[in-house]
Amino acid sequence: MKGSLIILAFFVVGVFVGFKGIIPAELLKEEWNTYVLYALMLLVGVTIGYDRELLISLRKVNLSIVLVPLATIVGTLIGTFIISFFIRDWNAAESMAVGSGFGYYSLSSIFITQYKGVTLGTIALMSNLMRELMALLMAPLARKWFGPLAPISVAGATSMDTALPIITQYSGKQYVLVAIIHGILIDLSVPFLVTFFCYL
Amino acid sequence: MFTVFFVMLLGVGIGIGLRSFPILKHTGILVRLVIFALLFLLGREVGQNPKIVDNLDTLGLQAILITLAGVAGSVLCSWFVYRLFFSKHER
Repeated sequence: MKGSLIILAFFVVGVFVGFKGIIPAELLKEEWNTYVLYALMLLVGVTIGYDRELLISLRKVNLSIVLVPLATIVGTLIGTFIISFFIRDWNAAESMAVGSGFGYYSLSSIFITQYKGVTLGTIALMSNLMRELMALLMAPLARKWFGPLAPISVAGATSMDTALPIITQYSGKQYVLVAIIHGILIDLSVPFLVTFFCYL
Repeated sequence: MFTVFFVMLLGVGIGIGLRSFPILKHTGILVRLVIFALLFLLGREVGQNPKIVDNLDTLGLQAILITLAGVAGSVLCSWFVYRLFFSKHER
């Protein structure tokens, strides 16, 4: 949660700086963003490849565990597909691109801003922050109504870090491994799915 | 699109190849710094754009709708998976 507040603070300060025109627009041109994005992806890749334990824990995965992130992805995409018909401004692919952030607001909003513009990028930031917030607030209800996998599914990419304590509490310790694997796999899927739906 | 994937896979390769360099342990901090910088820039673009500032309520509502739809869908699917593949093992 502290991480989200820091990120939100950077965003809010940015909004203020932009609103007041403190830094002239000529500085920090937009063309830079593409290269910064590539650099970011390279670094994200390095952290994945360097993390020996992450790759080892992926080897322990069996089929029924993989079904959980699959359910999260399929369910989110179906939901965001359906809701897109009720939102005039955005088409199905754009709505699904926002949903494909799965709570990984920083990366997904940066990607969507790059491919689809600031407006949808802002929606992506808000939507995915809300998803993280819901993961924390709705865990007890989700567990009660939809079973122990539901809090993991709601948490999306945050099921392995921010939401893990609350998932442990409400779904039970036996679901910790499921939650971690779920978080890792959803995390890895975010750049691919978001890029895919932005190009669609 | 494939440039992004390629760059990421290249990073994974570099990470695996350079495991003997402990300094790479700190790549995560670098990632975080780049993300902070990019979100600051995103915020700045939002602040400069009156079209967005004036419509923050509409955008927020759209964000809520998309989030709720995504959460509802994933909760239903995970319930389905639980009933079919998990609940049996518990009894």
